[in-house]
Amino acid sequence: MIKKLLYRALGFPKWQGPKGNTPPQRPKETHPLSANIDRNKQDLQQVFDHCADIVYRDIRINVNKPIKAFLVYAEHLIDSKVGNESILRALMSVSPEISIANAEIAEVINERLLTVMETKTTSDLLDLVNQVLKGGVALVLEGSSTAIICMVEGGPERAITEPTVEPGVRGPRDAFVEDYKTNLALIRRRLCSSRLKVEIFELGEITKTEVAIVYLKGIANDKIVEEVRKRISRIKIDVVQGGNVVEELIQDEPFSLFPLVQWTERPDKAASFLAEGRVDIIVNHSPLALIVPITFVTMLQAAEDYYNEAAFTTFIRLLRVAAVNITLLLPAIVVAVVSFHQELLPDKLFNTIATVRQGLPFPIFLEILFVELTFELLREAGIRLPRAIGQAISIVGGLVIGQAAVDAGFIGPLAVVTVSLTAIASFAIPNYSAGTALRILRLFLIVMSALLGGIGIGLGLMFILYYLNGLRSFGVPYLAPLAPWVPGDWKDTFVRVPWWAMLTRPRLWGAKEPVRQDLDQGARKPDEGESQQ
Amino acid sequence: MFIASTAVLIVPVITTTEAKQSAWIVTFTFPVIFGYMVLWTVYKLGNRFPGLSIVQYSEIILGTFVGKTLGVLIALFWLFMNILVIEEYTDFLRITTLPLTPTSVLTTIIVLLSLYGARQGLEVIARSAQFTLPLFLLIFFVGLILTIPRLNLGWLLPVFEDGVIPVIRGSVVPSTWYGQVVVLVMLLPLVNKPVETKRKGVIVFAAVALFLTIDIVFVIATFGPELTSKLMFPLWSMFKYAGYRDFIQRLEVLGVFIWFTGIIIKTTTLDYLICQTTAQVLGLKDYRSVLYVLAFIQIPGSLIFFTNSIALKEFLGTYWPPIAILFELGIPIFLLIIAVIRKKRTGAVK
Repeated sequence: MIKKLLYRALGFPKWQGPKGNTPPQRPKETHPLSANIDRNKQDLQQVFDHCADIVYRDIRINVNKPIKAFLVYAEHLIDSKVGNESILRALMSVSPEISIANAEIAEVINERLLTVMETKTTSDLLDLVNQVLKGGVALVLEGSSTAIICMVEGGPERAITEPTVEPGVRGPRDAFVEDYKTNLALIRRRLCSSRLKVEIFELGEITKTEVAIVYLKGIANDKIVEEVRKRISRIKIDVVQGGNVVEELIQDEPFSLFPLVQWTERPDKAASFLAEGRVDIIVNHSPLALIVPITFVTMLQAAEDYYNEAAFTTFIRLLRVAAVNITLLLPAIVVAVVSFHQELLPDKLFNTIATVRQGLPFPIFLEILFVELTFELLREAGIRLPRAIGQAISIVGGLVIGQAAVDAGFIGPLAVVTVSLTAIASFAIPNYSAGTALRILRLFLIVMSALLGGIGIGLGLMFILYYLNGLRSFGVPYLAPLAPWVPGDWKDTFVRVPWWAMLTRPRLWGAKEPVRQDLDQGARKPDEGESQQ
Repeated sequence: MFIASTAVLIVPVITTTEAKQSAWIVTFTFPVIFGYMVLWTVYKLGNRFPGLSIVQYSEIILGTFVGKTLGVLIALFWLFMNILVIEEYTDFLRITTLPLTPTSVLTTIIVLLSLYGARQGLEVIARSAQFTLPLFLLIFFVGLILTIPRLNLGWLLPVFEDGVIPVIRGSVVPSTWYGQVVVLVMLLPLVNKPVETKRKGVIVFAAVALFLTIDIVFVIATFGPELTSKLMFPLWSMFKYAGYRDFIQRLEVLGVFIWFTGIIIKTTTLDYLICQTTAQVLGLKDYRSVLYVLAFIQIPGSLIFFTNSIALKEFLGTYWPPIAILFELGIPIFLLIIAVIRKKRTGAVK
């Protein structure tokens, strides 16, 4: 229903999309290459009309009878060094002894002359065009209706750097980059198994973005893999700008406040998710891998958890649970207690608060709302600004506004303290997307508690509980393993047990091969171990 | 539809939420027997007609017309029960925490929230119950432990001072709470492991009985029978007493809070049941369309029926038990007997 309304609001008379506004359905065209080289060149020049970065290079291959040929490629999409070495030199310095019959020109050149790792042949002009645009060098030969495409992609690319969004102390230091092949390599390097399967789809009428589904066969649930495959192949869109487009098109709920797809920039995290039986989705030009299915507790896990000691991690995880609760509830509770349930405070605390709040012009609800909004503004401004100016913002925002507003008596220190604590707690949640969801719900709860006090918070929480319980990520209940109750999966949620106790894979999404490792590999003292043997 | 077998978990929440405010139960044996009878009947019926709800098999047993009439009556029963629950709840809130808030606001919000939950489906309700149950138990037991220093076990004696009759009379009302397992007549076909339901049902019964007994023992030992019967919400008052030194105090807020989640889940379940029953009687494909109508009935309904808590308590004590017993035990047993006589069944003989 909301979908319908939204489509209405956007000006579509019917939400199914009216006839005039459907995207053009282009049939898959084909245009065979001809054996006449000049004709082919003309055709290509017509297709690449006004494309200044497309280069044509005429050459002559000196075999027993010289063959006219030309190369066509996009200037900055190829590695010109490899192109020079392996294509031009290979073709131009052939000895004239090699004899080629007319029928098999393309085949012989491909098999004997070109020293390029990856080549393809095509007899379709439009396919050739696509390959050229993806960084191929096409070799069109006289007297052959088959062209050879040498994949020598290159050009500008970012080097692998340290993770910036999810940094760690003890873990590996590499992060995904924009190129999906590099990203696949980073995962493949970590999981040296032929069971790691990679399936590549091409999405986007214009962008032709490669989207790879990565999973471990025999560990990931086939149904989920099939579902991912189905949902991705259903996408018909013009432009895939980044991973987020795919994320929003494949998730279970049309309007979800909480992320139903996890993302990470760390290959180690992506790989470990695969080993748990989940599915990674890697979108070209996006430095983030998408992961499904996920649950709410995935939001509380950081990659660093698995490189630190189990006991310490458990402590940190409990701290994060507290952080979630503070982020969500603290301002609402303060509003409720100060304006509805003063009797809940111990006498001394009540006196303190009453003294502080004396002479303040606004009710606590407005104060907290004001400080909250100021903080959100600061955060937003801080993200957009260049780093150097960002510093100034934090000084103006934090010190000047905060201090001055309190000194002037507009707002009380209670509101400032509350919001600051909330802000700090919200930064302690590892998943950025979950943090944003909690921020919105926090405002909702503040309003509820201003209306009905503690009962309002309770009603709001029940609403959130119903909402969360209704969510699913690729069929997996969002609040699992809390509800439905799966005690076996608790070992990696609020606690993190040592590795020797991580005996089974999570059961929620029906990972096959549930047992991960041998029983009883725990640490033991040397003499005990010997006596047991 | 995938429903965890834990749908049964809703039942204890439903049953105990009611009992919270009533410490004037002096016994737990008769209600448990009553409840067990209900459970047994429901289970037998479910066994006879696997995958069917009461509306569907009553049509098979009694014929279409009578069956449908019965379905309507059952839907009305849920509706009425739901209005009672909402009424009780808003009443409690009005007295304890929000004296100045207009009741209509509270009622509206609660009804809308529970309709939202019902719209999400039974699975969501079951999981929400599952999520809150541990919290419920935790807070309850923390409250009890902190009351221990104030207990006076002497209050519990003498047993059977006035003979057995008052005990039986006192157990009529609690019986209807246990009898609320009757919700299973609608839920049973949706539970994915019906065979386990009986075993789980018994466990749930034992747990609820234990829970209620502890509750009553503690309340009476804290306040004594005289005071207890005069308090409006004894457990709430007891939580008020609970505390350790000066820094753990006012636990009744937590108590209210957690009881409240139970109530919401209960009204949600009832809403779901009303909609399902109505949809099945009318032969609708999707029960959700009934929800919107329901909102218009329930909000004014719970505002008009009872205007004060005295009337509510009077009604609950006098008129409600016969109705409840009729619907909880009478109708299922009646159906079972007719089914046995007319030899109707769809499931295989076990």
